[in-house]
Formats: sequence, C-alpha cells, structure tokens
Amino acid sequence: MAWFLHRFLLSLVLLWVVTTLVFLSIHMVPGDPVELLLSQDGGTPDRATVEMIRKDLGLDRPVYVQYADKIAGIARFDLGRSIVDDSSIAQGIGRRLPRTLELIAAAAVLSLLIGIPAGIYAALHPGGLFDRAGSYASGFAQGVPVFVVGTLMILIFSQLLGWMPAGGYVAFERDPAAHLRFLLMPASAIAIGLSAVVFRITRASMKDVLPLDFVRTARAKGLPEWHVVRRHVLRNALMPVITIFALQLGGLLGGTVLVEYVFNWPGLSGMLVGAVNARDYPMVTGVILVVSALFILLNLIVDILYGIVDPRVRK
Amino acid sequence: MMLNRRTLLQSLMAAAAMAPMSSGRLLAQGAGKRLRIGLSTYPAHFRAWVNVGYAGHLVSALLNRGLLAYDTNGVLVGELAKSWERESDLVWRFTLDDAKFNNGQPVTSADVKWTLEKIAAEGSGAHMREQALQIDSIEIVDDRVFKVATKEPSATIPALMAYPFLGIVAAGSTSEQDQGIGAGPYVLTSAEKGVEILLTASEHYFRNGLPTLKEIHITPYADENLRVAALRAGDVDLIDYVPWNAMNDIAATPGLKLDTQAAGAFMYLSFNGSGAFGDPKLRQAVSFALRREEFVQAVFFGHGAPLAGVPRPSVSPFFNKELANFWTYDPDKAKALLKEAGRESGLKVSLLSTSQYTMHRDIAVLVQSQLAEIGITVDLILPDWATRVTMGMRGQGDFAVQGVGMDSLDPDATSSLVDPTRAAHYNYSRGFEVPGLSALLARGRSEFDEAKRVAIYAAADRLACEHASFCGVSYRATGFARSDKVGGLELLPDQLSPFSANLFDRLTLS
Repeated sequence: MAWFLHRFLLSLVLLWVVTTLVFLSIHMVPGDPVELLLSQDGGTPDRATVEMIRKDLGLDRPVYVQYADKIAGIARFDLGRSIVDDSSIAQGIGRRLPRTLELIAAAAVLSLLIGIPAGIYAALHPGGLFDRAGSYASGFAQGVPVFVVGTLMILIFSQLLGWMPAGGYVAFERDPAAHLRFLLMPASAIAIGLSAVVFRITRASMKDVLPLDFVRTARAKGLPEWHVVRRHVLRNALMPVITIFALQLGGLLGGTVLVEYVFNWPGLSGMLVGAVNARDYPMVTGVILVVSALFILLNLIVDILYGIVDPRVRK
Repeated sequence: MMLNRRTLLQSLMAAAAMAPMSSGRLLAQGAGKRLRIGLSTYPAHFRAWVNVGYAGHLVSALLNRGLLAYDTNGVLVGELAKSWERESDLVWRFTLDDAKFNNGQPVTSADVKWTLEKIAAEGSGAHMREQALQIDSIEIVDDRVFKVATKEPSATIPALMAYPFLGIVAAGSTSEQDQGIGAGPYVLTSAEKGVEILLTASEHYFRNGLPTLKEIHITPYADENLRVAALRAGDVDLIDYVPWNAMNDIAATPGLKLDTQAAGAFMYLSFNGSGAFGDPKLRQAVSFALRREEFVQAVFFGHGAPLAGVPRPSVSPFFNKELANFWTYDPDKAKALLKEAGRESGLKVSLLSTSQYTMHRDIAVLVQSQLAEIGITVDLILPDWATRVTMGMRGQGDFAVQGVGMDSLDPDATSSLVDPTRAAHYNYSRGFEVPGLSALLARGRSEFDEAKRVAIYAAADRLACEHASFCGVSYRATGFARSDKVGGLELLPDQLSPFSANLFDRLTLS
C-alpha cells in the first residue's frame, strides 16, 4: 500500500511538472492567438480590437497570474475553455480521446494478433523460411514511416480498388459498419509497424527462454510441447513484450498525429496540433495534461501486470 | 461445384461479412440528395461577421445573406435589398425585399440597423469594421426602407453591403448562438468541431424554389491530398481549395469536373520602410527583377497568372491593361536602380515568410534565387505561421511574402494593399509613404461619377506601381473540383472567385 501511495504521489508531482513545462513553453513560443484568430485570409483587425479581445480572454495579465489561474483550475478538475471558440476543453477532450484510444486499441489488437503468433512460430523454427522472411518483413515494416504506409493504403484500397473510403469518421452509434470501415485502414497503418515490434521482441524473448533449464525439465517430465510453450516458455517470455508494447502504446497516445492527419480521423492528436497552430493555450495545456496522465496511468498498469505475470515482482 | 445447403450458407456468410467492408462509393450512393462537401479547414468558429477564411466563408454563405452581392459578371445585384439609390452625397436609401430569416421572422430595417451597429461597435472583430465606421447613422423609414448616412461622401457603401462576411442576422440573435439567425439558404443543424457540419434547407429562404438540395454535409479534410482522394473515391461530391498539383489530373478524370479562375487570390511582397526598402528605388529594383511566369509554373504548376501591377479584375471598368503589366522583367533596369540607390556593390535584406505553407515557402526561395542574380542577398526567415504573423505585426523582416484575395470589386478594396499609411498590419507594406497616394484614394472614395473614379484610380495605381508600394508576384488559380453529378456551379469573377459559395443555393445533384 505504501509503495502504491508513493507511486501515486510521484505521479502527481510528475503531472505538475509536465503542466508547468507545457504552460511555460507554449507561452514562450511567439504567436498571438487573437491576432491569428482575426487575421485569416487577409483579415486586418485594428490594434484596439486585438487588445480588447486579449483583455476579455485574460491574456493581458502577467504570465504568473495566468499560471496560478491554470493550476487552480486543474485542482478543481476544470480544464477551462478554448480561447478560439469558447468551447469546453474537457468536453472536447471527452469527445476526441475515446477515438484516439479506440484507434490505438484496434491497432494494438491487430498487432498482437499478428505479432505474437508469428514471433512464437519464428522462435520455434529458427532459421526457417518463415523466420527469415518474418525478420526481413518486420525490418521493412518498422522502417517505413506510417504516413507512407497510410498514403499507399489510400492509393491502393481507396483509389485503385475502391474498396474503402479514403478517410474520415462516422460515429459508431450512427452507423456501426461505416464506423468500422473508416477505422480499419488507420488502425492497420499503425498495426503494421507495431506488429513488427511485437514480432521481433516475442521472437527474441522466446529464443532466450527456450534453452533454459526449467523448459528442459518440463519437456523431460513429458508435458506436451504446446503446454510447455504456452505455460512455461511464453509466460516467461512475455515480460519484455509487455514492457516494450506498453511503451509503444504510451508513445501512440500523442503519436497518432500523422495517422489521424492522413486518414482524417478526428482524435486527440489532431486536436492538439490544431490548438498549437492557433496558440490556443488552455487547449494545448489541457490536452497534454490528459495525455500525460494517461501515460503515467499506463505505466502503473504495466507495473501491476508485471506482478501478475511474474509473482516475484510482488515481493 | 455443387450448390448444397452448406455452400449456400457459407456464401451468404461471406457476403454478409464483406458488406460492411464494401466501397465508400456504395455508401455514397445511399446518400440520396445530400450534397457532401470536403472542406479544406473547419472554421475556427461561427461568430458572425468575423473573417474565418475562405473555407469559413463557404459555411457562412450557406447560412447568411447580405443586402447586396456580386453576380458572375462582377455586377452588384440585390440580395436581401431589392433596390438601393443615392439620395444625396451623404445618404444612401435601401429597400428590402420580402425576405425572411431561417426562423420565419421577416428581415426588417431594424435587423439591418442592429447588424451594422454591431459590426461598427468597438471590439466586434468584424472583418469590415473599418469600412463600416464611415457610417454616421442609420435611419429606419419603415420595416422595408432605411437610409444610411455617411460621415463623408462615400461611393463605396454599396460595395460594403456586398462584403462576403456581412450577413444580416436577426436583431439580438447572436446572444443565443454565435452565428446568429441568418437569412441564408440553409440552417445549421449540427456541428462537431473538426469532424462535420450538417446543414438543412431553410423553409423560409427568399428565393423561390431554392435551395434545390435538402441537405449539405460538410467534412473537413485538412490534408489536401486526402481531400482529392476523397473526391476520387466518391466519399464527397465537391471540394474547395483544390491543390494546384492535382488540377490537371482532376480535369482529365472522367466523372470529375474542375472549376477555377486563374486570376483568383494572389501572392505579393510587402515592404518594410524602416530598413533598406524605405528607398523606393530598391523596391522598384525588386519589382523589375522577378520573372513572374516562373512563379506561376514552379509554385502553382501553371495554374495562375503573373501579377505585374495592382490587382484589378479583368471584368472591372477599373482594369487597365498597361498598368496591369507595369513590372515587366528587366534585370538591367533593376541593376541600374540599385546603382542609383548607391547599392551597386550589393544589398543584404531579410525576407519573412513561413515554412508551414508550401506556396509561401517556395515563393520565398524563388525570390531569393532571382534577386541573387541582380546582386541582392536575401536571408530567409521561415518560422511557423503563428510566429510569422506575430513577427509581421511587430514589423520584423525587410520584406515579406504575402497571400490574399480581394473581398470586393470596388477599386477602393486595394487601398490597404497599395497605401502603406493605411494599416500597420502584417499583411501590408508599412513605414513609408507614397506622396499623393492617400489623397488620391480618398478622392476616389468620395467620387460618385464612374468615369472620374476610373481616372482617379488609374492615377493611384500608377503611383503605387512607380513607387512599388507593394510588389505583385502571381495570381493563383482558385476554385472547386466536383463530381459531374453536381450541377449549377458558377464562379464569381477573378479575385472574388474564392467567395463563390454565395452562389451555392442553386447547386443541383443528379
């Protein structure tokens, strides 16, 4: 319990540090949100109007006052409102976050379904055709940038074959089939790179565990091969897979920008990029705070999973 | 193969499994009479009268109507106002048509007065506020007739009433919703930021039989390539801001149509007079040193036109062929001007642009290489767009790459562009004066006789060109691409073409 409390408090400190750094850095970057807002395609606002709106939005106050306001708001679980369109930031994140999580979850499931069985098979048949082909293919999949994969998928499946829509989003509750159709390509684009990582780590980890004594003992006891692999080898080999996989997923929380952009998937990353471009200070801070909180939470979950997979960690 | 119960079941299950994965085209066919538009940007907000860019105007034009508008020939025609006339040098009289707002409430003189007063109010952020400030008072004669009194004689009042973002909204309605209640062909049914906008036809639109389409579904596609892919895949029926590199392909694709105006929005250089470009000879040297056709070819893939004078639409009586081609490429003249300015040994200047938009970046790179040929060394400053705007506002950079369109065909619309004393804004030249230009432009605004105005603005354009108060680079083609099932699409002339959504009430879908 003390360990958990310690971890929890550490997480809170980490969140405060992240919020402070993000707040200061976005305010230090040049660019005035009000000038941007009123200057689109040749708009020429007068100085008085710009100053008046800055005052209305509280942007004329000293940065430390704005910072204190922000921290007080966060302490009340109030992320504030967008300075571009006055929309609620919490509501915006509430709408966008599930879509990014869904995209990541779909990609994660696809990559696990591909990467783990392939990794196991390659490790059990080292040097075989599948092992060698898998190694080349995974190297290629890891090396090709996700926007290239995405663009190629759009070209092939949407434009040439006409099987899929080019990109976009339909809410699941409105049309489940269309929703899945829009989800498939972006999730696959992420899954291609991710499954390569899972494949390589699973294969390497399995190869490390297979020659160990307890595996030989299990086989000597006459256990069926699949039983040995599943209960003894795989369970021990999964530790690094979980670690690496969780880190990859954490990275995806803020790293789906390109996929969301290429496939027009309205998730959190796209929202963050738009907010940075518009210098929407409260929106940027709010989104990064939520992403950081999730990342920290994910790490906590990984620690717990460690305990489940390897009971020695709990001691 | 024998058809038995098992194979039949397997086939049906396979077909069922494939159904959800079938093409977007099938989805499209099921959409019926709903027009689907792929928009380049989701509007930053729906606040009335604030310039939210061309994409934002497309939405605004579907929700709102102004008093007047331009037709496809560039002629002012009535919208909510059926007639207008000048009663005296200081008073214009307008008579409203029998029009209704989207909620069924009639459009009255009181609504117009309220709208114009809100626009002119301090801090409104309205795009046309500066022009609206010339209005002294609005007198309501009756529900349909009102008079606009100006502080000075102003020939630009009818053009002001046709500004793209000047939609008349029901008095007091902006306190309930940002966009207010407009009198446009469509009503905003639902919108989710960055995802979609759904519009349904207004039952009270003042033009009989219009709009033809019952629904419009707008999806923003920030990536221009995806926007084109969505059109090709049949996900959308019409897209705006067609990328220049895709125009030839779209025009050649069966089933797709491309509608563009070559002299649409335009790119130019603004000068900062606080540095070397306070000397008119150096500004002229730059203006004569550019091979403008290369910009059209390299940056806009041939879809545009050189801009070698003050931008005036070819349909306008104020268009002057000689002045439109004032800055011909003449490197010898440019070098001679440098020598006259005492810079024959070379000149080093900084050019502010942005790396965020390729057309701005590529133009900066081309300007750098072409000016190097006459001995001007250009240091490029290429931050992101937001930083570039702030740097421009602070007056940083000796000159800057700019892109803009005209929102009015009145010759006065170019005043801010050519007169550096008008507005200290990142978009325009600043820090120097062109002797006599401000006075000429003021005369042009207060002159009602068209022939005299033509002469005044010709003199003003000549002054601007001779002093190179700005430097035209090139027009860029603007327009729309659509499925050939979409009919009735017309474009406004030349520089007004980005605002053609004003004519979208007559779009059809076969």
